[in-house]
Amino acid sequence: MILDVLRFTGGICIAAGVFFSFAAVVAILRFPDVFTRLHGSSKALSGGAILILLGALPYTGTVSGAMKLVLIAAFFLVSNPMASHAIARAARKRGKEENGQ
Amino acid sequence: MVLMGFAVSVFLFCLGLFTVLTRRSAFKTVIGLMLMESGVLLLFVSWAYIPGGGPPILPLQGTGVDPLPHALTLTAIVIGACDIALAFAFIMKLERFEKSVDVDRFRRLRG
Amino acid sequence: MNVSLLAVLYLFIAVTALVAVLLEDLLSAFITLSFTGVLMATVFALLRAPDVALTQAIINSGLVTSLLLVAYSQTRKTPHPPEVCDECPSWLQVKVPAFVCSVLGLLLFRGLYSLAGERSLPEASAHYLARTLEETGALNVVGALLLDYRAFDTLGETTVIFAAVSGVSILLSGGRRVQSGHGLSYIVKRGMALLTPFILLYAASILFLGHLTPGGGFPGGSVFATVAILMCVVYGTGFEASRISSKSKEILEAGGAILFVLVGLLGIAWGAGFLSNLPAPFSAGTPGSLLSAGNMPLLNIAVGLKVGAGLSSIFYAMIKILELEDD
Repeated sequence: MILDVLRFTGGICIAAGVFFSFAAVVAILRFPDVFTRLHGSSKALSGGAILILLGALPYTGTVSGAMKLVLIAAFFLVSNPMASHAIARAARKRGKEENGQ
Repeated sequence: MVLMGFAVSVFLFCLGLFTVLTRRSAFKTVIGLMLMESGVLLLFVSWAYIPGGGPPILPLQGTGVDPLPHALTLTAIVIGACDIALAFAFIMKLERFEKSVDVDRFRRLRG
Repeated sequence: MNVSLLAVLYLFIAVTALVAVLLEDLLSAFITLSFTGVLMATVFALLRAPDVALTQAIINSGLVTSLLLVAYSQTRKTPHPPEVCDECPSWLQVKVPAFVCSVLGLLLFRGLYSLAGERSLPEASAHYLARTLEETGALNVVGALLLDYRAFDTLGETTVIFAAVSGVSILLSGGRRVQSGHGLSYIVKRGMALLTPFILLYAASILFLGHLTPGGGFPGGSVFATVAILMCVVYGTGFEASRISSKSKEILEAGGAILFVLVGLLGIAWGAGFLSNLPAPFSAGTPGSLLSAGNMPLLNIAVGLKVGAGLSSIFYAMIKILELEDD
């Protein structure tokens, strides 16, 4: 009974995560500039991926599987902003301060 | 499901062959090679699939899928990566000599 | 449910492969190809092939994409050639090769269609699935296949890796003045310093538990090579060469091959065949523990050393002749 409620909540989290990832894709396609695209997509993607991973927690059978998901989410939380920072810094250095491509 | 896998792998193989045949950039040739290898890998893994089987890790849940093509596919993946790396080394070296990556310009060994 | 998911994934694989071929911008084509690799890894996981999915994701979408990007940035300054051959007549440019490839595709599919009937396990595979535990002591059947039943093929594959590393090193040796890059910014350097021990732990767990869980020497060695590549990119090639010098990479690579052959010769010394596992004096141990399955952990380590050192040597040879800007 409690598992069903948890699974329902997990499903909602996964759906919200999918929506945020979709928003990240829309940000890449629709924003005019490198920096705005990066800003929109990296924020939305971090949130989306974390929500999907945490939403999959009630569906794993064992505690070790759940711990693995939490570890993957933590790793992603550390590495995705780092990667976006590296891209933004490289774009800045290439002289895209104006409205470039 | 297996038939779909066969169709997609044949499609990938023929697409890679088309790329190798028609494109002029050496990088596109390498992309075509990678697609051909990917087609063959997909063929092996689709071939190994038995409907209703579990992954080949003991203890088995029910029957297992065929593990022999999986071993061949692992070898093929690593060898594919190595030959792609060698192809890139060739391209980098050729670019230094010929100053272009156009395969129509590599005519030194002709005739 | 599973069939429709696989159908969607197959459709996306075909579409992204087509896009990767037709795109003119090479960078976008490479990223699309890496995305095709990730989709194929997902399909492999759904087709119950966890070993293959892991290796495909790490090698084909991670390592090969970084090699692609290095080779592309090396040749960035030369002008991009036109797409198809200008001197050929127009019917030969696209139409005839497309026709020939479609005919070939239809013939191949016709041949495969007649083979896709009743799927049953071949005799050899049934033997492997049934008897792996008592004949090798391992739980991972694919790992047992690679390192016990068909270990000689794995030895041949390490020879192929050695040939590729030698070829790349010879081709890209000498010539230019080596200029070390400065790596990325301070934030990325500190973040990488936080993450690297965990990535190394992950690589070690794939490598050492290769006889129990999906993984083994090839994915484990590739993740080690990925750590070396990350260090090259984030900290600069000078830093990476001073921490793990090229000499030590050569020693590790050769050491892996020598370890493999020595373990095999140990089998001959005891009167069983070359590379034999349980007939030679390697104990099977309790199934499921770390020190089980005879000589498979040793062979996994040997293969992992070989693959990791080889792939990182290839990357280092490619990137050190690149004049890196202050990034």
